[in-house]
Amino acid sequence: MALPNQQTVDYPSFKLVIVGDGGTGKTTFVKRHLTGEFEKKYEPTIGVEVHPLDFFTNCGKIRFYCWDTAGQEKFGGLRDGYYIHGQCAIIMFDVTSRLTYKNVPTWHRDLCRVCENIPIVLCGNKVDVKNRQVKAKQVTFHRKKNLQYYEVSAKSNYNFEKPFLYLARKLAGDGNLHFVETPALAPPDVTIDLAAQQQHEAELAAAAAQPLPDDDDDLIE
Amino acid sequence: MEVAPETLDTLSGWFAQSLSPDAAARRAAEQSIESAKCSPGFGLALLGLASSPRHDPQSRLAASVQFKNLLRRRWPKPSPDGGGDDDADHLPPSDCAIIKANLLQLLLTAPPLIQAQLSEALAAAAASDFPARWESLLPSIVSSLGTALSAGDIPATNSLLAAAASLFSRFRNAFDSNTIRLDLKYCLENFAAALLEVFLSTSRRLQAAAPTVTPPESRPVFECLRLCCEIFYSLNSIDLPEFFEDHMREWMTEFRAFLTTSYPPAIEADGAPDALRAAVCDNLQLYMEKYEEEFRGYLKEFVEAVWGLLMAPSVSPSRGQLAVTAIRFLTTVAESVHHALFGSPDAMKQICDSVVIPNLRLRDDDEELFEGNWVEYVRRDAEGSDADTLRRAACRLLRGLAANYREQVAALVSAQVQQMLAAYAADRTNNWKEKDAAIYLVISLMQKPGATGGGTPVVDMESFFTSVIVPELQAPDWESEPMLKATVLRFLKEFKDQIPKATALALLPSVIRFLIHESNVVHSYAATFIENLLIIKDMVPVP
Repeated sequence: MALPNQQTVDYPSFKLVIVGDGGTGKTTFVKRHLTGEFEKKYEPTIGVEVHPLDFFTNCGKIRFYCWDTAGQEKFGGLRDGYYIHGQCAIIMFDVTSRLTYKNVPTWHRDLCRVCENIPIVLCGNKVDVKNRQVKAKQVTFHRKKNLQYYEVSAKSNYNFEKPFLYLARKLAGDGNLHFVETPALAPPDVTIDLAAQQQHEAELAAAAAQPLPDDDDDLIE
Repeated sequence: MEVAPETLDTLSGWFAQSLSPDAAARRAAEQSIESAKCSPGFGLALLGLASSPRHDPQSRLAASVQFKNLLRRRWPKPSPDGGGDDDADHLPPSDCAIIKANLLQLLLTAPPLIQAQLSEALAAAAASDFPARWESLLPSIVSSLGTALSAGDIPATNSLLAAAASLFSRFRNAFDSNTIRLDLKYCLENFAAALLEVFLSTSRRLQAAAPTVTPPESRPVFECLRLCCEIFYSLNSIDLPEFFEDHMREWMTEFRAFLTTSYPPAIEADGAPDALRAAVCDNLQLYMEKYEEEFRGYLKEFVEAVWGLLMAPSVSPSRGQLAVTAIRFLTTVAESVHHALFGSPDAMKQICDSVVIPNLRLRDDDEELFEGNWVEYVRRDAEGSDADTLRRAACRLLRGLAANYREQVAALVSAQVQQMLAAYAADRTNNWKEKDAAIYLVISLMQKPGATGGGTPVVDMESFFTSVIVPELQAPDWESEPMLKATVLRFLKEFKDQIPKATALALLPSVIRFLIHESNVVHSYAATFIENLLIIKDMVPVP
């Protein structure tokens, strides 16, 4: 499964592309997994940073090469040139900023123009913030495009492994694959309001059972 | 177009390294690419690599991506002063000329992923240069269309049509001027006949194949026809061109076939047929609004076809969006001199029962908007920005009908309102949406006459107020069914001028309760009503 010019390791590895508006928490999310630290200061990513991230599964070890791309236009570098040979992707938006969700279709379109038919996870980050602008029920883009959606929080470690587990299962073609050893992380900085988040999850489950909204941005090109 | 093979090899190597996880290798490659960007012929090298069969696919794709990005940022755009400081970063004219001479052909022979990038690149360049500075483009597209059509190559046809659609989109929403008309004339002379040929040929292909093909096979065919409709719309946006007037029968015959044909359920469920139908309805709307005199001969058959479409059950995921477009067309007809098409009692009753009422009821996405994006919900009410919702479209159709058939519409709607209220009385918990729809109907039809009609009496206002509105305001369960409460409060806001002072004051304590309602919409509406109430002044007696 090794890609051209990719460092060879003796276990399966995949190129994971992470895209989304600047400031949505892409780099923090990746670094949280790498070092366990939560980066409070915002520092825009220049071009791309590639971080190997290993997970241990019941089928053995796997690695994601996380291509953490710049979200700000002026630091874009090769921009969508970094997506080439992406085998899976995460599109991240910030639930406290409606604009970042509105831009999700643009990221998705650029991504799909370069990578055909790869598994993609939509992530709504910063779920532990009270003043969220994008409610769980409002997130419908994933249902129109057959993406998976998770709400995550890099700050509190909420749902941090689920995007990777979903992608790992898709890439392995094994719905029963599961992680067997949790990487050691620093303790979370905050405790998430579990009751509120369980309500959001319930809302998501209920929303998923509803028919899709009628509007369809397929016609927008 | 020739680029030295060793240049392509070097470039290919850099792109390969730019995809390396190793930061040092990747950054070095990016640095090299960045430096090369300033060299003459860089764009040509990218295009050469993108279309080079002997290089590996990833480098070719990388080159096509950067080529697209390059054209988006550095393609020369004509400026009023004919150039200036920003010339420094533009691609050289000689490079532009070579790109224009070769891009379309390379696009057509490219693998799908590279084709998608080059198509975007073409659109970026054409935005500035077409047609006056790129005269070979349209003839090349037409010639290639002929080839693709003869070969039965639908994907290639669709690529060419998509390119043409992006070229012609400039005519939509364009201010009429000699310049735009000259451009349009040029496009029509070169493309209109070819478009009709593609359209008719593909439509015949669809008719021949539809009963047996699977969605993956039929989707490109529907897409081809939809693209033809999009181009049709663009080319007819400014005026009715002579070619299209001469061939109106051919176009309209196929349009009607798409609206009246039921395709196999698997294909309908794919959504492609409804995307095509929505594009057809947009075209009908355009003709009805702007070219009514020429279109009138087809009007009756299209009203029947669109109407039938709206009444047919559907498994299509995008039927709702199509319904908005279709209802808008019927509204335009109802408001025109051709309103007699809806004039018979049977027709009007069918419109009310089968088209308006089903689309009037609250949907799940309305509830989601109410709870999750309340600012937008309030904005739609206050500013009328709900023009593209099913509810608004349905009510506008009623108001359009009422413009010419006030008494008939009033009687029909009145009966519906009574039915809805009866359903609510029978089961309040499960049928609150019926009451909401009833109040919405009354508001829509009875509010002050404006540009879109109104002032149609469907209920006796005083008795409706006392028997329907007041009980909801004073209900002990004031915290339940927030959407219904919001609609009731909106009713107060709409008709505050008709509420006697003593009655309003008596209701004030009930409305004040809503100020602390959990729902943002409800307490906002309550606040608005109270504010309005406090600023109303008594009529000053004339001495």
